[in-house]
Amino acid sequence: MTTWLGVDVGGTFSDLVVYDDATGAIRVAKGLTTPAAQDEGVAAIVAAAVPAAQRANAGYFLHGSTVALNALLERKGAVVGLLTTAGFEDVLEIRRGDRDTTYQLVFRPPPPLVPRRLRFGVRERVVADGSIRTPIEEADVAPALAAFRAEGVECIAVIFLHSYANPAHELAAEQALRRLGFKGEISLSHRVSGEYREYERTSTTVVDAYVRPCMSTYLRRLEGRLRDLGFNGSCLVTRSGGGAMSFGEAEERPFEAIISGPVAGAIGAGDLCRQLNIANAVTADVGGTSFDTCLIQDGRPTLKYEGRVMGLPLQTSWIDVRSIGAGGGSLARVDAGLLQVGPESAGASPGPASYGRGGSRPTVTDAAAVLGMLAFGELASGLRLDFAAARAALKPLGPALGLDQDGVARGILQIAAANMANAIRTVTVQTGQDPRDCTLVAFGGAGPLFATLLARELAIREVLVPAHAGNFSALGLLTQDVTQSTARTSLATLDEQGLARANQVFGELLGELHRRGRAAASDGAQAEAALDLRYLGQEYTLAVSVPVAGGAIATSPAEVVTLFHRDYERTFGHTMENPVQILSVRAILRSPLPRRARMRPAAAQVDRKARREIEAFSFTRGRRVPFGVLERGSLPPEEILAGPALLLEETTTTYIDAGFEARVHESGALFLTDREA
Amino acid sequence: MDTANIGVVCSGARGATPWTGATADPITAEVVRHALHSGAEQMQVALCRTAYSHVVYETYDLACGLYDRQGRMLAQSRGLPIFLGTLGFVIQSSVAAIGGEQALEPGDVLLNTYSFDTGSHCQDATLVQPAFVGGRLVGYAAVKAHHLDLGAKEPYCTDTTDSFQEGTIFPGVKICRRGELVDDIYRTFVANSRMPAYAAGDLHAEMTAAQTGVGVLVRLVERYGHEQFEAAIERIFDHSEAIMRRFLERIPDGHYVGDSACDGDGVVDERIPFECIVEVVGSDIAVDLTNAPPARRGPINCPLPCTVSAVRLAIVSVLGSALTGLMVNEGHLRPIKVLTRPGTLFHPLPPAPVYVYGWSATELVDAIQKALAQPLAGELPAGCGGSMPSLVLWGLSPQYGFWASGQVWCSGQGAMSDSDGGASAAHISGSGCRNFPAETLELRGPFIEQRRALIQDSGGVGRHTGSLGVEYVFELLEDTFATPIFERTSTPSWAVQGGGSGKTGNLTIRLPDGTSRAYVKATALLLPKGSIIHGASGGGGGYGAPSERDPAQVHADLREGYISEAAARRHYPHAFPRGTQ
Repeated sequence: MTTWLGVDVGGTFSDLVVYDDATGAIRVAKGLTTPAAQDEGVAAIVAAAVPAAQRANAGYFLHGSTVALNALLERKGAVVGLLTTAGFEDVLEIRRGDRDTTYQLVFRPPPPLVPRRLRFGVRERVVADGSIRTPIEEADVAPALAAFRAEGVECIAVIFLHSYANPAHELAAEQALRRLGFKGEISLSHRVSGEYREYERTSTTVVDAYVRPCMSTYLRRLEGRLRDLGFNGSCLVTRSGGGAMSFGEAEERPFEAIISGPVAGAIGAGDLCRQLNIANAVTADVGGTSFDTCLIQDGRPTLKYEGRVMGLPLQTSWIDVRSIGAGGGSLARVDAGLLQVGPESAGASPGPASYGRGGSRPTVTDAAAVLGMLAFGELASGLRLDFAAARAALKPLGPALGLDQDGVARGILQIAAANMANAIRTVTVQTGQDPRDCTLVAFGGAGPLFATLLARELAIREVLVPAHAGNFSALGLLTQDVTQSTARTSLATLDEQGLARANQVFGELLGELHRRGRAAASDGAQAEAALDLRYLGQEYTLAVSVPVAGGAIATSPAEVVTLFHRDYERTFGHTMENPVQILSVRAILRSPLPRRARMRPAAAQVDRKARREIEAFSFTRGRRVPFGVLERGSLPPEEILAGPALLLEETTTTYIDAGFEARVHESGALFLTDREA
Repeated sequence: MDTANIGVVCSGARGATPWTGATADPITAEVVRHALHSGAEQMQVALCRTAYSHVVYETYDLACGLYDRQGRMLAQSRGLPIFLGTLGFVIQSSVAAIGGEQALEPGDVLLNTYSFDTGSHCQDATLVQPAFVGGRLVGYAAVKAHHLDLGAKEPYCTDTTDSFQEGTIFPGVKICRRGELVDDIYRTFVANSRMPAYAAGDLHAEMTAAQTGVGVLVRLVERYGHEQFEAAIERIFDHSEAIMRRFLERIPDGHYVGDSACDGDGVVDERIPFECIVEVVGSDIAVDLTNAPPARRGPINCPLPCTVSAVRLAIVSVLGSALTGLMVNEGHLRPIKVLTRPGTLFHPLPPAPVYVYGWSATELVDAIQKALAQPLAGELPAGCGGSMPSLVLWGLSPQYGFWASGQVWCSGQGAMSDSDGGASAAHISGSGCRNFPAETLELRGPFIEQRRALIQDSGGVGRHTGSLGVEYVFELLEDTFATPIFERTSTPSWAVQGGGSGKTGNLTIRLPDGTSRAYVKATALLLPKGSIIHGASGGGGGYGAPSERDPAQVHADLREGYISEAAARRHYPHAFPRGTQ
């Protein structure tokens, strides 16, 4: 029995969840993100919301951060130098040559993370079977390093062709750099990714090097602050592909934690859908700055084996969360007679005008406040909304649009909701899933505010607002296992010999994972294996899970072929008689964290008589109508509450438009159902 | 296709049909629009994931589309843009070939490789599968994919003199009947390939893709009903047409002339210049190609369906630059007409050879955009470094058996009025075409890539510079056959308002005996082990006078090695005032 802490850092707010195994009780808190040094805000919220005794007894700190992502978005990462096989210095810039958009004549990808003057070739050549064709010319490293030093290079990425098949030359280059006295971080491509395709591997390795120092500095500072606060447990951070890893491992493999924040919400939503037997769901995670959405099928967020951030491919597993710049802080403006909302955000500072922190430009939150959607404006952390400031901020937009105050405010909400709905269509309709057959899982500080608007926009009938919706991403952090995974391209025919070779690779990968995981709780870790298989001659593969016993793949080639045919049939509707080939071996080490009792929300404590009323705008009715205003905690399970109503809780407000009715599930989750659909 | 004046053929999209049913609600129309687009993309995913040849799964030399019962395009996957809207022609001709709609049954799949139906060379085997709901035909899924070999005189040819040398013709026949593979046709198809395992595998991949598309159509019609579905697609077409017309109205009425040239037809090495006239009246646009040169003896001729596609692509991609995420359907294509004269380069008649039609089609795209750059000054870039520089290699190897490997390279992009050309990229004709990683290529054939690099000084100079061409060097480890296909080795990218053209591309082969020779188009060159192939794509054109370029930018390019010091001093003397470094 122990206490768990989860902190998820968003663009505007940082969310804390405290879970006590002994009682099953959950406590939440919210604080402002401190963009310049996220660790300050994280430590401040832990210090403020968790008593010292509980801090000292807590076993786990699970974290979702945007430090690496911000470094990429804002291009504020390390100065990276790149060593490549001579003749391939420009691979990073040539990319694969394709355009992002089919019919876009004028195409300008962002400049490469490493400029051409910091990319140097080394004479060497390994070929596809791993044999050495040209021995490495270590003398080439010195002039490159001299140039790197002159330009203040902090990290060096090394990628040589076919290093997944034989890393000897990359290791030799690393040794040469060390011999020459380079003290900074070195990312070797074969350690970052064992998979072939040099542009994708180069991109991944360069991103790794680019975010390494800021991630490392951040995690060390944060851990130091937590220790200062008396915390003695394990520090873990979420991966882009789900699952947690130790801070130590995240320092080594920061490219795996690029989108750890948004992922936690998707993982938590998946966990909730499994508990509530919801087959298809789509998330609407609305924060201050961004809107994130992810399709969940059979309780699993959509997973890919290649990620992409700012157009850069990353060879790592990746939960498919799509993000757009739309949130409570999104700024509204009039452009050539049209009202536009986002993607620019007022962020945490100065924040919406109604926060009274110096912001004067109108935001989505200001519009919601003016429309009465935030009730009496009593927000988390004791903040009281300044309605006069909100009205003043909206005022200049009216004349330019020929609309009154409510018309402008309503337009801002509708445009923001339509933008969010388009993103949801992207993840649902574009993957063949009709959003109307999904449950909308709304969370984040402003998710429950938009829930019924989005449902109407998408003709979704059922909305789920989880308990602690305002801090749900942080809650999602607590539902993960510690996982580690790695893969290596190792081409072989699927026969006795090929499978034996795959098994040998698997053993090596597991050894690597055990070494990596030394800091995490890897005792009792379960090994899982998957083989990327294809018919001989094909390119794309299916990752097929195969049984493992005693740290080795425990099956026969014939059984693997049967598994492959079963998965192939399910995916493509047919099978072939051609021989099957192994392309890559994947190893996963899963250490389930100690079993958590079912989380329970705090029992209803608020007197129902506390019901109040406010005139707020109803999008269903097209005018202001009286909304009941209640504490969410005052609703007993299974009782039905008809909208229009506003449900208040510590970190969010649920706007229930006319026509919807609310029901609290025994788990504490709130279901909103459209009765007029 | 409807014929107008004698001797001139006018081709265009299918118009609106009188619709008397209920109007679709905008949500349903929007959901259907996205579902159709996503359906076409799902077809492509299914095709790429099951395809055998990397020309399909890496280069996206393919098209997947969903069409309504009248053969109107509902959606097309990103694939090869030059295939935009070609599948409608093959649906029409294939269905006619088997005796019309009434001869179609659920589970039938038609196979067509006839160039004058598909608008492609024979290798682009096209499948058409009808979708039925409740016994009623609701539309078609169609798939085109490039097969590595389908029995042409060589695995890739630039020297054919009639279409019968170009592959095995299947003129719209049932490869599946009521869901069962027609074994006679299937075995004939496979037997005519030098790479039968690839032919069989890729054909199956195409069938998977067609089945996926049919599944999408059936699901939608079952969900919304025939009436709502049809109402939704009418609304989608009208909406797309309105967007297209709103864009076209911005172009001042007038006749705009563009020109380009092909570097030989593959049989005769001589420049083939041509012109196109773009006529804009209100929101209607017509491209007049009636003055195109006569069809050629070599295979540079472009069959009519592809000519129409090239025109559509040229115009839609100008719109696409303004509207990201454009989902093209028949509605967008309605305002576009194409005038051709049978027997010419852009409307060859059987049995004219057409094997490398894609390169004349690409030159046509550039010529049309050059014409449109006149009224849309400032909105279109300078010319790019050229059409798809390509190299096909094959051989018989102890290690790989019969192997073949085709590549298309990217080239420099043209500068804009307000920006440099940026990164080099695939030609817009193949905007989704990705170049192969060296690590993928080398796993599949006996050669080594020695170099892949940007070419210094290859971009056009100007206030804004064109982006650089790219060079590729290969060393052959065994005796190998090579077919290079190049254009624009003699016509550099065009510049705008005083900018300079980029360098042209070229291909040179150095034999082990030390002799070397340049090639433009050549077929099945037998190159001995140890030969070195050096290819270069062209740089993009510049925009504005070089004297207007920001000196700081000149020095930045110098620092990065995009430009040499000699070239910088020659073209931008103002960046090097006397007495400074």
